[in-house]
This record gives sequence, C-alpha cells and structure tokens, in this order.
Amino acid sequence: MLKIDNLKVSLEEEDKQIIKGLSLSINPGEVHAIMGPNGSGKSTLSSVLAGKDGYVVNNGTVKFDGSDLLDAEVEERAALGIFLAFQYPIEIPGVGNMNFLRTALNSQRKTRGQEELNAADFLKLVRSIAKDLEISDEMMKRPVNVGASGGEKKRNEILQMCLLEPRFVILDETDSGLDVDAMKLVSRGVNNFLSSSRSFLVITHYQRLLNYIVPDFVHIMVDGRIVKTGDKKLALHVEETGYKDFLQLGKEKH
Amino acid sequence: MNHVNTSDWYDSLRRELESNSLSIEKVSRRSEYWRKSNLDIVSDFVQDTSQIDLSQLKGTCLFEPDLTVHGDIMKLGSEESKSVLSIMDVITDEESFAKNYFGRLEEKSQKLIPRPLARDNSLSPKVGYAISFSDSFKKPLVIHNRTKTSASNCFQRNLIVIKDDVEATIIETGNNLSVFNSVTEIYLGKNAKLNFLDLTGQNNIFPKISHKFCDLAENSTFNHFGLRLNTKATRTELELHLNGHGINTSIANVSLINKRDHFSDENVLINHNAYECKSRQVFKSVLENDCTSIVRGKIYVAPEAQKTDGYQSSRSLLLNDKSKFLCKPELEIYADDVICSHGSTSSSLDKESLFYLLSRGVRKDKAKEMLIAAFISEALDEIEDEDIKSALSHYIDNWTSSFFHE
Amino acid sequence: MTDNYQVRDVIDKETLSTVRSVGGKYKYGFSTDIETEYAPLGLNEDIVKLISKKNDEPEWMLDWRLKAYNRWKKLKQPDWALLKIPEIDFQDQYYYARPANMKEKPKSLDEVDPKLLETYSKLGIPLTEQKKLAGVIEENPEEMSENRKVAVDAVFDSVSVGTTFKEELKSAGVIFCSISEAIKEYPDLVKKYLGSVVPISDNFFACLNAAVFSDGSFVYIPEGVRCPMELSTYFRINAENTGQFERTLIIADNSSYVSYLEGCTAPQRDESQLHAAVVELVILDDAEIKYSTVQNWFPGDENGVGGIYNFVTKRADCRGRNSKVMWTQVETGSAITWKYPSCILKGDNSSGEFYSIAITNNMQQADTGTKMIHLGKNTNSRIVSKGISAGKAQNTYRGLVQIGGKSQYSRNFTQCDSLLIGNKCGAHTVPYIDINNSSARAEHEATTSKVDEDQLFYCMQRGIGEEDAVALIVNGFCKEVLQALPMEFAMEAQKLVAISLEGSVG
Repeated sequence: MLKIDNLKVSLEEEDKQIIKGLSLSINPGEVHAIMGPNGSGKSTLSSVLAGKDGYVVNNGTVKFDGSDLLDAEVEERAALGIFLAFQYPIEIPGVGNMNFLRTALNSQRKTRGQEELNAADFLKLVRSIAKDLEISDEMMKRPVNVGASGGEKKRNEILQMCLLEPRFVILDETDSGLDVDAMKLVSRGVNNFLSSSRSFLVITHYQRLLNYIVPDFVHIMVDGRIVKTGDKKLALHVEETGYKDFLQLGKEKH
Repeated sequence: MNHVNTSDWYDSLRRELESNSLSIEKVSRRSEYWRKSNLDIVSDFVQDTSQIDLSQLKGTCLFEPDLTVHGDIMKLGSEESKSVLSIMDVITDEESFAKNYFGRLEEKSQKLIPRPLARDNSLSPKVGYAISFSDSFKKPLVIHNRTKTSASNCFQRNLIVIKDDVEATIIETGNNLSVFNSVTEIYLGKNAKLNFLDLTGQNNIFPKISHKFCDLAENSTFNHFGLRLNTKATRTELELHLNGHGINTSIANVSLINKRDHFSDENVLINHNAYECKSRQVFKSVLENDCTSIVRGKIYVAPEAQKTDGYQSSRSLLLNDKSKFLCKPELEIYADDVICSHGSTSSSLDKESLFYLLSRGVRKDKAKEMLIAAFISEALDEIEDEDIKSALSHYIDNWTSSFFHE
Repeated sequence: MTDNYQVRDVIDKETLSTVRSVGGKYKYGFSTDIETEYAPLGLNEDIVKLISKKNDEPEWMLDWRLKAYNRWKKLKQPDWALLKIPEIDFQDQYYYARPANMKEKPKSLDEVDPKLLETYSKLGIPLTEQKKLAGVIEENPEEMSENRKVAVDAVFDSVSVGTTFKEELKSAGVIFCSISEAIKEYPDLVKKYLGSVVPISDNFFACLNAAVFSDGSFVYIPEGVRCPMELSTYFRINAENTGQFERTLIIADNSSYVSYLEGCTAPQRDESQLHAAVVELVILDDAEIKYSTVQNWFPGDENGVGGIYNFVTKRADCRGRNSKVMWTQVETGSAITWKYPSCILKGDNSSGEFYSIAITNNMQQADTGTKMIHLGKNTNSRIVSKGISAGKAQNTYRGLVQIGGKSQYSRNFTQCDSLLIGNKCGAHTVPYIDINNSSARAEHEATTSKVDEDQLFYCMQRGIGEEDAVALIVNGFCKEVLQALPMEFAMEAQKLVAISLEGSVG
C-alpha cells in the first residue's frame, strides 16, 4: 500500500536535514508503530506524507498504491484515503464542526466520483459515530476544535477518521495529553476501524498506547532513520530501557 | 539675535528646506493631524528665540553619578569615540560629521504627515546637542535640560548618531521654562541599540512640542519611553523608519494628568519598510479634572515588509467625569504575511477591583494608587533596564500619591 | 441536536457548489433591452426641475431640491478617504432614466411590462405575492414552515416599478411605497422627516442626492405595530451612463418594529456608473429598525474597467428613549465603495449596532465603516467589521466612536478584523475614538492577518480543495456578521462571499 524508499527530507527555511534515508513498506491490514526520542523526525515524516509546506524532499520516493504520492496535492492525498490525525488539531473559529465534516466528506466523495451524501444520511452517520466516541451534541455544534480540551480534540480527530473512512491512517502522537479513559475511548474507535484493507502508522513516544492499539511491527526511529524493526516486544523493551541503546545505533550508521 | 556664521553645507540645506517649506500644510483645527489638539503649542511661537546657555546643559549619570560633562565640547571619558557637541558648533563646522545627517530625516518626515513646526526648527536651530557614538556606552547618559527662567521661546535641535554594533541609553530630563520646540534626528547603525527615555514632561507649565525622527538599520533596536506628568500642553511627534530586516522597536508612554485644561498629545508613525521587523506601542493615560490625552499611533507596512509583527495598545483610565481620551490607532497595510493588531480601551477605575482591595482593608486612596500603578505597569514593563524601571516606578508612585489623592 | 445548524450546513454546501457553477463571473451582468427615456445629459437647474416635474411633485419639494442643488454647486468632492477616485464628470451623466412604458405608472403589478418582471425574476426577485425571495432553500421545508413573506419595492433605474403586498401591509397600518408616491400621498410625514437625519448640505454626495433623487422607498410603521413581514427594496441600474440616486426614508413610530432588506445589482458595462443614495432612519421611543444590505453592484472587471462608484450616506437617528437600530451590510460589489452607515444615539438607553463584511477583489476599492455618536445617557453601541482584501484591492475600515460629555454610562465595543489574501492588496484601519466622560466605557480591538496556513492545511488534509477551503475559512471569519442577517439574505451573502473571492487563490 505505502512504500517509502530512502527518503531524505530537509527544512525549507534552514538547510537542515531531518529525515536522512528512511525506508518503510506497509501492506494492507498492517499496523506499524514508529517510536523514537524527541527530535528524531517522527512528526516530520507524518507532515511529509500529508503534504505540508515547509519541507524539501532531497531524495527518495514515496509510492501509494504504486503511484507517486509526493506529486499529489494535500487534498488529493486525502481523497486517495490518507488521513493524518494531528498531534495538535488546529482551531478554526467560525467554521461549524458539522459544516466542516460535511464539506470534507462530500469533497472527497466528489473527487472519487461518488455521489454526495444527503443531509439526512450524513446526520445519521455523524450522530452514530459521535455516540460511539462519547462526543456530546454540544461539542458537535461548536466551531472546529474551538474551546475543546486536549482529549476532546483527539476524539474529534478519531471521529473525522471514522467518517471519512481513509485506507491509510497516521496517528501522530495521538496519545499525548490523554488520560486513561480518553485513551481507551480513542483506542476503541481505532480498533473498531481496523480491517484487512486498512493500514495504520502509529507515531508515539511512549509504549502505553500500543497496549491498546497492538502493532504488527514496531520501528525505532533515531536521528532521521529507522534503526531497528521488531514486533510489539520491541516496544516493551523500549519502555524498560529507554532509547539509550538505540541512540548508539543511530550514530553507528553514519 | 546673534549672528552665527553657519557652514556652507548648512546654508545650502537651509535654502533648500526653506524653498519647499511653503508646500507643508500649516497647523490648523481642520488638519487631520491636529484634530482636537491644543493649538496653544503653536500660537505662542515667535521666530526670534533666545538661547539656552549650553554651558548649563549638564550631563550626569542619574544612577551612577560618576560622569559629568560641561562646556561646548564634551568628551565622555577620554575617548574620541563618544562625543557630545553643541549643535551650533556642528552647523558652523564645514567638515562636521553632521552634514550627512542633519535635516535629512526632518525632510523625509514631511512625506506622509505635514510637520510645519519641525521645518521651522530646521530653519533656525538655536541650541541642542549632537551626539556621535562609535563605541558602546554601558551607563546611561543623562542630559538635563535647564533653561534660564528669563528665556523666551526656544528651538532646540539635536542629532544622535549611533554607529553599527553600538549600544547606548540616553535619559533626557528637565523642564522647559519657555515655549519649546525641539527636533531630534536619530540614526541607528546595524545591530545598534538605543534606549531613549524622555522624562522631560514633568509639571511643564509651558507648551512644548518635540519631534523625534529615527532611521533604523537592520537588526537594530530602538526603545523609547515617554513620561508626561501634568503637562500643560505637550505634543510629541515620533516617526520611525524601519529600513532593514530584523529591527525591534518599542514605544511606550505614560501620561498622568490631573490638572484642569492640561493636555498631552502623542503622535507616532512607524514605517515598516523591511521584512521581519517588530514594533510595539504601549500608551497609558490616567486622567482626572477636565484634562485631555490624545494618542494617534499609526503602523504603516510597505509591500516588501513581509512577516511584520506590529502591536499597539492605547488605554486610558478616566478618574472623573470631565476628562477626555481621544485616540486614533491606525493600520495601513500593504503586505499580506503580517500580524498586526491594536487595542484601545477607555474606562473608569474597575469598581470590583476597588471593592476587593477595600474589603481587604486597603485605604481608599492607597487602593486607587495601587490600581493606577497596576494600570500603567504594562508601559513600564517596556523598559528593559530593571534599575531604571524600578527607579522610575518609585518616582511615579510617589508622584501619584501626592497628586491623585482623594 | 437542534435543527438550527442543519440549515446553515445546507447553505454552506450551496455556497461551495455555487462557487463551482458560477466560475467567478458576475452573475447579474446581463442588461435588459428596454426602451428607455432619458432626461438630457448633464446637471443644471432645469434638470432638477424636470425630475421634479416627472414625479409630479408639489412646489415645496422642488424648492427643497433647488436649495440642495445651489448648495451642491459650492461643495467640493471629499478627498479624505483612502480611495483613488478617477475624476467624475458630473455633467457627463444622465440624472434621470426610466423605462418608456413607465410613463403612466402601472396601477398594479399586473400592468407592469413583462420584460421588467422577467428582469427581476432573473435576479431572483419575483414581483408576485405568491413566492418568497430567491435563495430560500427547499431542502429543509420544515424550516420554512412559518411561510415568511417579504414585500418588495423594485427600483429600476430612476423609478419604482412596483411594490408588493401593499394592501396586506396597509391593513396592518404600515405604509410601504415609493418615495415619489409618498411625497404626493403623505406630504406631512415626508415634510416632517425628509432631511431631518441627513440634512441637505450634509456632504457632497448627499447634497447631490437631495437635488436629483428620482425615487426610492418610503416606510412608516405606526405606533405599536410590529411589521408583519420583512420589507425590501431591490435596486437595479440598467441604463447606460446613468447615475442612480435613490432616497429611502423609514420612520418607526413609538414601540414599532421593522426589518428592512436592500439588494443591488447592475449590468456589466465598460463605463463606470455613479450611485449616490441617501437612507434616513428615524426611530422613536421603544422602536426598532433592522436594516440589512447585500450590495452586489457590478465591481468592474479584473483590470478595473467599469463598475459602480458607490457613494452612500446612511444614517439612523435614534431619537426616542430605548430606541434601537441595527445596520448589517455585506459589501461585495462596486468598483468604489464610500459608505458609513451611522447611528446617532440621542435617546437615553438607545442602542446602535453595525455589522459589516466588506470584500474587495481585483481592482476594487472600499472605504467603509460607521459612526457611533453617543449623546443620550446609558447608550450602547457595537461594531463588528470584517474586511477581506484580495487581488490588487484596497480595503479600509474607517470609523468614529464618540461618547459625548453628557452621555453618561454609555458603552461601545468595536471588533474590527482584516484578512489579506495575496501580497498585492492592502487592508487599512482608521478608527477614531473620542471619549469625553469617565463613566463611559469603550473597547476597541483590531487585527490584520492573512488566512491561517495551518487552518488551510487542516481543511485540505481532510480533502477540501484550496479554493473551497479559503471560502470556508473566510465564511467562518465572517460568521458573526452573517448570523446578523435575516435568513434569506444570509444564504445569498454566504454565496457571495465565496463568489467574490473567486480567482484570488493560487
């Protein structure tokens, strides 16, 4: 589904390389976790996959279903089925949640040549998802993310995911700022969403999220590279010993 | 009037300025820039002005008083790199450094706003100082203006040139004992920094207009703080040109007035001409007893001045019914990637805060003083130097307690 | 979940699909091919007399006009606005144009030329009493169950072609007719109030209007009456080289209420056209007027050719105690806009509100805002202004908040935000705040910024195209003002916001 080959990325504003040759292959139905210390380039990877400005790809390719992802515009990637659950979801004052969701959903459906969803079906769909995630009506009436707590914002991200039904989901530090109850709620949303045709890339600093969303593969990212790949036991190992063993690996590769 | 043999360069500049001075809009009620201002500032001016004796112009260091200068030419310390000259010496000297600077900013300042009084000043300067620093000056330089009681109207002209990488702090104090018109042209080089504290507006009974025009090169910093305590009729015109990237400026002013018909009139124009510059303006006026405070502050952002960060806050506290606060916070913006904002408020003392303090046993006049101090603290916080800030803050607190009591 | 936001969602969907279908073209640029009768070119005393005669006016009205004309000759066109106004040759304009077959005023709508009726129906303004204003969306019929009626007075060039629901309004005691009719039928009311809010010599353009206004709307709501439906006037400039000078006078007597809507369009022409209107509102004790405008005059093309020069004086006089006025304007059209709907808060406890969206794109220029003059005690005002500038346009908010020395315990709140789209446009803010007593409280906040990149990215990551995302965010930016509009207009306005910004992205 997603194939990243020797990707090198630097910042547009300063000549600083953040991702220094990263390769990763994700097949349908797989859950991959990327763990790493702060500043290892995890969030840069999610931004580059979603198509955010401010980064320069110096080298490498990213293929999605065999075609070049990096050529596509941000909204085209979304319509292809790529969804980024943001680490810090932005507030958009004045733009109602429902309006936003409906516009997004129908834009994507239109791009894919599907019929737009009518108002009644749309409402029914959103209400049922919101109920599962224990998101209140009051919250749905607010402008996008405005006045929401950290946990509410993250739940809203998961709601958007469930509604837009992407095939490839990046969870960028979705666990940050969540208490245990919220984490369970969010994980339940994600786990219900798992299927043999969908893939996940879970970016996290801590192992605890992976107790709830169980990965097939765990990659340790240090200094812009994947230095070790294993299964979920690798995450437990990190939990015990921290990243210090791997920092050395990062240096050796230089 | 004593005849002074001025230099050729000054004479030719003077002719040039004089010839195009007719096109400058005169001061009038109808002028946009004098709307509701106190025109006493202009009405008393006459061309014939006597001099301030420069030997009386003393510089001392307020907080570390180890610096004394007097006489026409003041060498600060023993170094040539820091000189303070009499402006009259400068304009009579054919080879003076001032010939590349004098009058240039005054002329430029007429482009957007007519400033007829600044032009009058250029045509007949009488006293003043010309400062040139090519080396940093760690302690504040204090200039104490002292005019003779007998002096009548006065045109003061100053020039300040701070070279690249040089830092200085200048504190100007003293009252004018006559109607007063001053123009100060300030040039800051790359990475230069000037903190200017204008503390001349204390209990002035004579009208005064002072202009400061400032040219800033890249990465320079200019901080200006003005204090107006019961000024009879004071007007300030400040114009900054941010000509290189990365410039940082702060303009702060505190006006405390509680005498009938007294007036403070602050006018600021900040021209953002280059990218990534930052400007802040903080004005605080506390008014009582039929007095007026005017604040006109404009941020202009040229098309090339992307990533400008411009902020202005003008707030007043009106303590009794007849005081007036007139404010025109203006934005003129031609670049899109900017963050500019202004806020203005006008209100009386917050009754709930007052009640809270009283309920905790604070005396009423003390509570009022505390709320005034809290109100003006945002402006004082613009002063970087903690020693100067705390000295000023004490001074203002004392002043407040003796003037704003019930 | 309430149904309230469902409707709004539907509108926004409409907004976006309209953007796609319209493709950035001015939708109302067609002209009506109809025989038109003009007054001779230019302006002099004879033209003023001719206009008065065409309207069959009494002598006092002609005297009033001539006084204005003679005063106008001495006035100079104001130059203080941040506008580059090409020189206007006031002698190279027609001051009166009417469809030839309107010579005899039709007695009822059935007699109006079908071509005119067709013009208005093309504009979405059916001049019949069965239908509602266009823009009402049928998708949620239950929302519309209250069956809102809107009475329309349609002004075509210099004359009013017809007013709907006149009889129904009459039975409620409401007078709604063209001003030319009012001068003849209700001379006492007109004499008493005309020029009492905007005096003859108030300003250059208002003075010109007083001399040559040809028609407009007149409304009188008697004491204690809540107007049973929304009233609206629809202005259409059709004839070439013709200035439109309409005059609107609305009087809300004690304890009455009316909501009034105003819409404007003009054909797409290469020559600029002048529009100088005057609106006077008189509000007595405990009365309230809501006045909403969606101004969509032809803005000129992307090179600044053609377009309406819009110089408008609008003022509300809150004379009575507890009187209330609310101005809401959506200004998307015109090549030049010079307009400051104002409130004089004379009565104690009176209140004035001003909600404005001004969008300029391409070569458009707007200098618009409001004046809040607080004179009475305990008066309240609120200003919410949203300026959006794109292309090479210049957009200025200019406002005055003045709280007089005797206007104790008065309040003002001003929020004034500007958004820049692209680096060739300008956004300016020129507020004057004059506070003359300490019991007053005034708050003013202003910001200028561009469309937030992170918000844009967030929308696009969810699959929304850039232009739609900008339209969405801009509509969000304007929300507070859009919500102040009556429902019929809110829908049209949201579409307009998106359409006006067409071509500004990328």
